[in-house]
Amino acid sequence: MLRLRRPNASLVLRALLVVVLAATSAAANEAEKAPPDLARGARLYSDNCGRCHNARGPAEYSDAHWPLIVTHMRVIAGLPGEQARTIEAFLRASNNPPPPPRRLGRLAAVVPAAGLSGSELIERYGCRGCHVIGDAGGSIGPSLRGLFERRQADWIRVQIQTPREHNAKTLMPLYGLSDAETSAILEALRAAR
Amino acid sequence: MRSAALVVGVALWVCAQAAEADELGDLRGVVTEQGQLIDELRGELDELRAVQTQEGEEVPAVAASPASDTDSLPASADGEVTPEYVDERIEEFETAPQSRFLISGYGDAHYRAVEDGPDGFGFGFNPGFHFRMSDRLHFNGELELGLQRDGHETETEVDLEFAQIDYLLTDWMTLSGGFFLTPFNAFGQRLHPSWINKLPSPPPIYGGHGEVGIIPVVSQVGAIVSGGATLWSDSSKFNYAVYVVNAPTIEEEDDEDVPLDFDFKSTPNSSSDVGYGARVGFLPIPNLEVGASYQTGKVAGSGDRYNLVGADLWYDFKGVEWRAEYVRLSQEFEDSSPSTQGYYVQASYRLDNLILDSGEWWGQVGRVEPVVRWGQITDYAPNERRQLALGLNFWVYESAPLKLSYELNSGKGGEDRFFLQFSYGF
Ligand code: HEC
Ligand code: HEC
Repeated sequence: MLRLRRPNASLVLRALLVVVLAATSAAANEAEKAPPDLARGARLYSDNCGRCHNARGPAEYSDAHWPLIVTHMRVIAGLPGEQARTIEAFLRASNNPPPPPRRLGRLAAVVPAAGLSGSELIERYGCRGCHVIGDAGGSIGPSLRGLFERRQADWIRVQIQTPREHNAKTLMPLYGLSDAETSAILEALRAAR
Repeated sequence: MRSAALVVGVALWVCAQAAEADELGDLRGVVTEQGQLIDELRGELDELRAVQTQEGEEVPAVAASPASDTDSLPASADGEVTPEYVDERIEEFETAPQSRFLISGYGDAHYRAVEDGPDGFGFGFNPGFHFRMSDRLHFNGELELGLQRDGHETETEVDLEFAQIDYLLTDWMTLSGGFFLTPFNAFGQRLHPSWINKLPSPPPIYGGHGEVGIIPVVSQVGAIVSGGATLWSDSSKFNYAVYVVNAPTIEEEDDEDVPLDFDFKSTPNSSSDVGYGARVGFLPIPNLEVGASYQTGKVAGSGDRYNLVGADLWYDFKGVEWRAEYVRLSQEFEDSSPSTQGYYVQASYRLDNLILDSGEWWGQVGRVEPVVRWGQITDYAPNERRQLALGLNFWVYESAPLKLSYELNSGKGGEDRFFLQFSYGF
């Protein structure tokens, strides 16, 4: 019995192996490294990660653990792999502890934000993934329309630079922005209204 | 006799050799991979050595220059934030190591009062385990430990919720095997953990855990292919799952022959009958998912066919979250095919859509979420059961709700119930 069955089983296995190998070699260059697109990551996160349960904040898990969770979620939700990796990169980029003071001090002192404008920084860091700014954006965070009517500029500055000072469990990423970048973003937000 | 033993022996040896040859092939692959890795590492080491000697040579120059603090900052000379600088900082986030193992899961404590008793406390504890064997190969498992008050006895429950191996074949296809939560409709696979479910009890169409329903929240033993892909834009997509499982069996405790009372868990398979099924989910826009599910097969041993048809909907309309599901279970006997069907519709609204957390005490009102759920089942008798559940949640954290609910149950065996539950997803 066993001997009769064996060739069949191994044939099936071998066929499966061929499929697997073909698929993996086709998929081999999927994972090529490029700087993660945070704006897209934030948008995909806000599109997908609050669908079944409340969105879980980037700071809840470390870089070491997010890949395990995002893979689990990818399988449950049937998320395309490329989107899952983009979300993972966004989460890993958004859970950072504050930069060491030396670095922050240096950045704050050395770097005026002349290279990228405030609205370019907003694009790059993906603020619209979670907030409506101007006339477009996601809904995980509050709309930033009318922001300056309800908040003091100093308060907003703290929120952008160190959101955890206002809410220790915030979903908002800690980007470690310099003073100059923060000012540029603040001005762009004021202009967008 | 002896020659027969010899033949069997030789046959076994050949089999073992064949298996070994496969293993050898695998091992060879591993060794080649390791060899490549070592070569790569060697290359990196050489690069590092080169950098170190350069740095060594530059030490005096650096010491003399007060501007050395800007080391690797790709900002231009007048200190602008360049796109390269921002990209580099983003890339820096990527360097942390990965872990192979994580424990997560959820727990809850609750109090339940039933119109004609028994009332009582209870809790649930569901630790989950995630292992990453490689980038593509993952294992996920979850246990369910709990106490349930049943009449005058308190019973300990230890259950396996799921245990599955996932192989990420391509970006749009994952192969999984083991004991997996059946991807039939939404609640069973995706919404039943107590920190996710917006009410302390499952929707009336779901049974198990002392609840009467049409289908249980259940895992089945088998193999599954699942995945998804985008359609016309980044935020319109579909997902799918196709599976084969051991056939369900007739519940053994039942003395009388009640149709449609199956044990879906059936492991090991008591016959070679199988069930198979599929679910397709469609998300034309990011705030809408429509799903259709089907499962059919033979009831183990009996030869009768069973059919499960389902549909599920999720829609987030300006912060009001709508969920609805329909299910119909039928069994085909020679002369009849009894069926049970039901549905539920749920709406919930988190008040932080209206009130921002301002740091003032009343900002906490944003954590409150009212929920309403209406459901109905009609069985083959036909008996009808209806349920209206009203709930009020307070989200202590995003994964920790304090839930209060009152259920009005009518129809056969319907008793009103009150729940207070605190749940924590960790
Ligand atoms: C299709 C539904 C669904 C979607 C979409 C989804 N999740 Fe989940 N998530 C679940 C379920 C179900 C659990 C509980 C898993 C368990 O207990 O095994 C969970 C659990 C979690 C947990 C707790 C840790 C764990 O693994 O139990 C985190 C964190 C999480 N999800 C984050 C995310 C993120 C980030 C996304 C976006 C990529 C996401 N989820 C999208 C269904 C979903
Ligand atoms: C992952 C989602 C997410 C991203 C990305 C994000 N935020 Fe937020 N943000 C939030 C949430 C959620 C809040 C609500 C307060 C809280 O929970 O901490 C918030 C609050 C704010 C507020 C205060 C609004 C108010 O009136 O209370 C400002 C201002 C703000 N964010 C600016 C930004 C800027 C600028 C960026 C980009 C550099 C950004 N956010 C990126 C999630 C996000």
